[in-house]
Amino acid sequence: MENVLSLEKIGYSYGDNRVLKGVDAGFERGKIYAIVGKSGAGKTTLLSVMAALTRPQEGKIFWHGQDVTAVDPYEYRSKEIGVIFQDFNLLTQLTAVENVELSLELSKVNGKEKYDRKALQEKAYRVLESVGIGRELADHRVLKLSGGQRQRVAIARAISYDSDIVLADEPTGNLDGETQIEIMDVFEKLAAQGKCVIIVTHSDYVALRASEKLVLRDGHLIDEKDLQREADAESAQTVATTVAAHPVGTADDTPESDALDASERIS
Amino acid sequence: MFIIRNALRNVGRTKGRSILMGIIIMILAFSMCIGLSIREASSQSGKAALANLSVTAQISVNREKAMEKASGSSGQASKSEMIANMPKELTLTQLKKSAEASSVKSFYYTLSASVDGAGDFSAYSSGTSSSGSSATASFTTTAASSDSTTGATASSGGDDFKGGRGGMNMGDFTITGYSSDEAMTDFTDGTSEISSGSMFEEGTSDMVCVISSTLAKYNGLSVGDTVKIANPSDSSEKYKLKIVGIYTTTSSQTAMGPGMTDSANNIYVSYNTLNKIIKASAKTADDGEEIQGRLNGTYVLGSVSNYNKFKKEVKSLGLSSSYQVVSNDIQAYENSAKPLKNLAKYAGYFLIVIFGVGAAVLLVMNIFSARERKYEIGVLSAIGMKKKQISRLFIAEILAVTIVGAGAGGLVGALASKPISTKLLAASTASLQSQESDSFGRGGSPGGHGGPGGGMPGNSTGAPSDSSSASDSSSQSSGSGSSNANAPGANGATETPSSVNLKVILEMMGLCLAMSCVGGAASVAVINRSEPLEILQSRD
Repeated sequence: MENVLSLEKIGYSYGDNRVLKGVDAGFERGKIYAIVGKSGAGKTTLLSVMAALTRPQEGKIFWHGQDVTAVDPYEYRSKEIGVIFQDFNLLTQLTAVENVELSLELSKVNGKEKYDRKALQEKAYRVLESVGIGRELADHRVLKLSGGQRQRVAIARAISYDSDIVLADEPTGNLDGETQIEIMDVFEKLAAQGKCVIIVTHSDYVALRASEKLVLRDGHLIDEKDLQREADAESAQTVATTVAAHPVGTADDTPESDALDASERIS
Repeated sequence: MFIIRNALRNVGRTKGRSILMGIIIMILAFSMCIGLSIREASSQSGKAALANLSVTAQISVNREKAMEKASGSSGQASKSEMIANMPKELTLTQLKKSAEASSVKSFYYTLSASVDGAGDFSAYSSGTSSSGSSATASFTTTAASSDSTTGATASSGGDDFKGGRGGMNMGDFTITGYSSDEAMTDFTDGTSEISSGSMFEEGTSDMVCVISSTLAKYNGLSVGDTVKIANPSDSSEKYKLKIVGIYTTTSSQTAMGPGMTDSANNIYVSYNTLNKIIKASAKTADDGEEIQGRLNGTYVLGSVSNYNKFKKEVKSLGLSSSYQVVSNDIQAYENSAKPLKNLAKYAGYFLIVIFGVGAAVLLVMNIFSARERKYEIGVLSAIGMKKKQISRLFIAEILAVTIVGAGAGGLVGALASKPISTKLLAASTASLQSQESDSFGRGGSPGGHGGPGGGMPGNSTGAPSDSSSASDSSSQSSGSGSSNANAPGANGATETPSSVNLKVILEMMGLCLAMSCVGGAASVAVINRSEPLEILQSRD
């Protein structure tokens, strides 16, 4: 399947600290990708680069084959991708539906498209319902919503303008276990709808539910399957080496210290 | 609309911040409204006064220039040489020539002389010599003559200064001949009116006169009686005048000072009548002892622009630079306009200070507000709102609050502007009077100076002020119309016609919006310096 988002030799440094050292990756529709790695590996940096919140010093990003670095990042963020943050990053003085409506309206304004406000409002309500926020709740100010509800609102905002790609930075980091499950259910639904969901996470549970797991290590993004193969190969090599060093033979070959006493032998 | 709608929503959702900023803007708008309304009132009053000002002017010797010329090229002429070289007062022919200027609406002239009474006819004396008499009692003499001091305020035969420098002998009566009814400004402005008999015919040369009711009562005279006047230098030279009218006057009638006749002792005659008397005196009296007349011509110009035009036209008509055009009306107007102009000037300074302080306060407030809203800026940026869109949003919020705050401030300012500016005007007037008293070298308040009360046309009441500090002119207002009844400066109202009109409101709104834009610039600076990633990552 064609990649909806591709990364080509992405490099990023913070001063002298080179965090991303030529990241290559391709992301397809209909899948949930979990990007894992140690703290400080550069996961959030990678996501920020993919979301055009910051420009990479090296490499290119392609969205449907189009170089994203040549596109206005604000228009890209308001129309082409949806971004979800760990801290939700909603406008607290607005209601849930107003947060989603704002995002929808912005995508129309930046795209210089005409729109009907009422229709946008209706769509906002529908999108919120699809992530489990009913109409009544949608009219509440974000301040009055729980963490899980806020994250659902953030997801609704990210998907409201029908973007193909949803980027999420630790979306379940501030949520309890049960809510994590609910949120992942939502992501699975989005993937089933054909969206490409890319999640940066520390959570094993989230990684478990992802279709693909990518590990960010030493500035490179590696597929977990490749890592597993490597690990298996290493493990096999280790076993072989060990066996070769210590072949199986007679009792007399057993070192004295290892030999059983007559009293210890089972007759 | 997207920006405006979201801005209005944000303003409504953050009531605390919006109300605080609104109150500050309201206070600033209120202050600006006061200042602007004062300036507008001053401007309107000035224009109205100028429009209503009926300007009259006289031509007199420009002493300074004349002295320069008279001193000769070496600048060392003797006193007698200087006096001899001083230009003479213009003749009637010369005055009439200047009246040909297109800017002159009309021209009238008077001839004044000093005479004694003869027989039973004696001058009235109030027994005081206080100042403040009306302009009718003056005479067109040189300053030297007006310096002459005598003890005579009473009847004929007193210690008049005879043959004074500049030539006018002081008698008991001032007889003034008027070229036309227009010249008799005391009658045209209603200060005096005929109570018995009638005014003599315009242009007549009959030996008829009009006297005051005080003089008539003092001498037991009535219409139809004959009075005799005499040459102060030669009591045998007498002339008879028949009384055809008696007038009453509302002007102050006390004598202006020692040597000055009481205005009750003014005798009104036609110019031709007095001219006939003076010519007869010239034939019969010895040299230097004839009755001498002083001619005063007044040009009615109507407006200030005509006055300015007249000044240029007379030069082209050949008036020497030793002469100058003066107008007591304009001087009086400027004197009375001074307090309001001063007030307007200080109001202007006040506006500048308010604007500066207001802009600084809003700038600081907006910097703090934008920094507080950094997270919001980060979120908006993260979801794809461009920095210029965020800037417009913040500025729209500020402008919305400004419009409401300025509207409320303007409303309160409009109500308060009149009483506040009236108080300020009173303070300005008092300050001005204090300054003027200082110029006399005395500590107390000046007497009889016709304190400028800020009374503009329509507001002024009472007698026209004689406070005109006319330029170094030998021709004072000889009661012949240089003090305009409409001129401001009377000791009348102290209210300022404070005006809050559409212009003031628009100016005030404009200034408030300008201040808010300065404040908004601070927000824009914070927004432009913000990077969404940094903001969102640095959030606690």
